[in-house]
Formats: sequence, structure tokens, C-alpha cells
Amino acid sequence: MIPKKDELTPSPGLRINHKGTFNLDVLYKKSKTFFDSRKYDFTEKEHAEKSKSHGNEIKFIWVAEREVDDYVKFTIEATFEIWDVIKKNNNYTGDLKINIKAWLDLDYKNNFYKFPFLLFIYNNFIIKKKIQKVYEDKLYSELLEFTNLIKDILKMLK
Amino acid sequence: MIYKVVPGDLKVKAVTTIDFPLFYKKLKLWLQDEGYAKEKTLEQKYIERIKPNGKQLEIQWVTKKSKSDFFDYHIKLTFLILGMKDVEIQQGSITRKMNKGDFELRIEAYIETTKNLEKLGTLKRIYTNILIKKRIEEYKIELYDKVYKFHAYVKELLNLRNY
Repeated sequence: MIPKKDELTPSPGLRINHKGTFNLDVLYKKSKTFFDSRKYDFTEKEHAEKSKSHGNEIKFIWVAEREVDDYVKFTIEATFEIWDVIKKNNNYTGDLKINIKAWLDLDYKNNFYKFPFLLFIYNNFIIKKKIQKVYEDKLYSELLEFTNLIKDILKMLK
Repeated sequence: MIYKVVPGDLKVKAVTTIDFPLFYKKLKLWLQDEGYAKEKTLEQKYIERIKPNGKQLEIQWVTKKSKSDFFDYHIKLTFLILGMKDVEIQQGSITRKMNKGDFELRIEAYIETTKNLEKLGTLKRIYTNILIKKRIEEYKIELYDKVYKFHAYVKELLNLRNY
């Protein structure tokens, strides 16, 4: 059954953990450019930095949305949490945890809000194949590109 | 009727040392320069509490810029500051008074229809959903760009990273 919010990632989201050295400025800028180049509406929901004696604590929450057509919207939510951040020259050391979630918002304009049964029929019978073969595939490939970009920057294996 | 420009609000948080009166003044000037803030109506709330760990401040600004007879742009800003203490920082030969604390700002942006549009009655739906649908989208993009410039400015003043 395809629900209105069709999640592509497992409920806790995809996780990328990295402890060591990385270039936070490049990671920050390139991730933002990724969403801009794919025409996503980008929102930095949260940006927090706390100075601590053993290193800073940084947290960003990003939500990127793209209206594919009048019925489907792609959403990617990425949360970056970094502990014990210490800057050395141009690089940073710290404990980085990235959590990424992606989902399709079906009928995001709520045209079917009075007719939930019709919405069920439409999603699960009429355009089921299109959702699975076109929309989910497309979003999944973009999600992979995003995770690969992060892994590239962090010099991780793909 | 309200058209949200950013989903929810944008939260910027920093535990840092800044010159808070200067920060407050610079934000107010930015909003005034862009035509959003009016001295008399800007500050809707200013609560200051003295706590053992420092001052606690809650400030709310609601700004408005009239876009046309039918639409107003709004930027709403909420400051939540915890444990703010005065500190002295040596900068070269000068000792500057600064403020150390947990600074949190929440920024909301939305477009609101005016009473003139409500007067159109049943024509309102035809007007907003058909005739000027595209223009409303342009307004949303314009306010979105503006609020992100403001967001970037807030981050710059708090010495946070920007894109």
C-alpha cells in the first residue's frame, strides 16, 4: 500500500558516521550547491553552534523540497550533528553524524483531502507503477548522489 | 489568508560572545533599511528576567511591508536568550564590554492578504486562484530571497558559517 507520505528511507533514516578529520566548510557549501543545482527549494530549519571547552558542538537541519508536478513533491531532510569540533588550519576534527531521510509527498496540494478512498485508489491502482518506477526511482537516485557526494568529501568508500 | 514562505521557522542558535546591543541595533537597522520595520510597531514583546545564571531575554518583532493593495509581506523574529552575562574582552589595547550567552533566533516569513482583498467576496477565489496565481508565486520567491538574506546576515553577525 502506498501512503500519502511515501518514505524511501527506513524510519530512522540513512546514517553516515565519521570520526576524524574533514573539511566542514566544503561539506557545508557543496551540500547546499547540490540542492540548488537540482532545483530544490532549500530551507535551513536549524543552525546551531555552541562553543565548549573540549570543542564546539554544531548542528544543522536542512529540508529540501521540489515540486515535481502538481501531484508529487520530493523531500530530502538532512541532519548534521558534530561534536568536539576543533579547527586545525583549514581542516576540522570531530565526531560527525549525518542522518538523511527522503520521501514523496503525494497529493501535496490536498486535492483529494475530502475523498481519502479516491486517493487510495489513485495511488494504489491507477498510478502505482508510475510512483514506483518513475518517482521513487528518481528520488532514490538523487538520494544516492547526495550520499555519494558526502562520502566523497569525507573520503569514505562508496 | 496567509501564504507561508518557509515551512515552520528558521532557527539559528549560537552559544557565543557578542556585543548584544550592537547585534540588536544592526538587525533593527537592516529591517528598517529594507522597509519592513517601523519603530512604533516593531517590538511586540520584550521580557527580561534576571536569573542566577544570567539574564534571560525574550523579544519578539513583527515586521510588515506593504507589497500591494492586496498583499503584505511579514517577517517575524523571536529572540530567546539564556544565561546572558557581561564579560570584558581585551582587543589589542582596548577592553570591550561583550555579552556571553545562549542566543537563539527564530525567523518566520509569510504573505498576508489585506482587508481590501477580503472585500472582493466570492471574486477573491477567482482572483487569487486564477488571475494572479502566478504573481503570488513570484511574491513568495521574492520574500523567500529576502528572508534568506536576513538569515545569512543574522549568521554573519553571530560568526556562523554561511553558504
